[in-house]
Amino acid sequence: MNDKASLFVEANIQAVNYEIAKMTIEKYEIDGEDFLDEMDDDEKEVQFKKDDVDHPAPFMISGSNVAIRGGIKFSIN
Amino acid sequence: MKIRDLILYSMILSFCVTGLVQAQGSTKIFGVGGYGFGISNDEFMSSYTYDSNWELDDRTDHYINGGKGMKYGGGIELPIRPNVALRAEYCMSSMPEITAVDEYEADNTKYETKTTAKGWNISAVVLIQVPMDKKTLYGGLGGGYFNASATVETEFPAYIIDYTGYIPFFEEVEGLEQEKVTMSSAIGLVGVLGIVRCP
Repeated sequence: MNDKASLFVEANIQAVNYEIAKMTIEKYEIDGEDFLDEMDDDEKEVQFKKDDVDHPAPFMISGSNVAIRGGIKFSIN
Repeated sequence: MKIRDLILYSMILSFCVTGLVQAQGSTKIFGVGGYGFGISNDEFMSSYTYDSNWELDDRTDHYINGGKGMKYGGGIELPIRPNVALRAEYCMSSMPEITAVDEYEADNTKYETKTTAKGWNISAVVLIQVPMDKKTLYGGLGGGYFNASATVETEFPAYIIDYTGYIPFFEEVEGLEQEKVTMSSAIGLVGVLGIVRCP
């Protein structure tokens, strides 16, 4: 190690709300058959809501998280 | 673009440019890794067990949070004022797989539904630094965009759905930096991260 290197540990909090996300369906396959081409553009765009309980999408959730992270920094000047 | 937005962006840009000219301290590049713990997990799907009479016998709920999982990336820190730095970062993440199993004892069958998610994000954070001897405390606020992709795969009925999208987020950071590191402190950091990763 040298005097230009430093170590750090940190808590990183991300506040994410997937309800404001605009997701797009890239693949829709049933029994090996691709149905994406049969979908309109409007159908491919998905906006998830928590109360949309019948939708199989994983993003009708909050993605907020606390990450414990660590790493190394190098001065470059 | 509205005039109000244009003025706001101009002010931010002028602040950064002016700060770079007057900057003290050094520019740093960094690599980072860690583990994200989900806040406010939401119920996502359930595993069901049906007895030999096709009656529901048991149910187990599964919870999901897209921010949970391993994170690793890197970036650059630019000093823009004395004890103020601008951090730009690229970070990748992957959520642990979630598997729900529906089990039917009457005909001895099982069907799985698997959900996986991964993504990357870019973010910018303004850091306020408090130097103390060879250590520096810092905290900061910022935000960025998260690019997420997810796959839901079900055995019965057999379907696969892939999603991608961009989600804005706010970010808050607080941490401690140890300057002029030794090999022992580097090993100590790796040990702490190992404990965090394996609760």
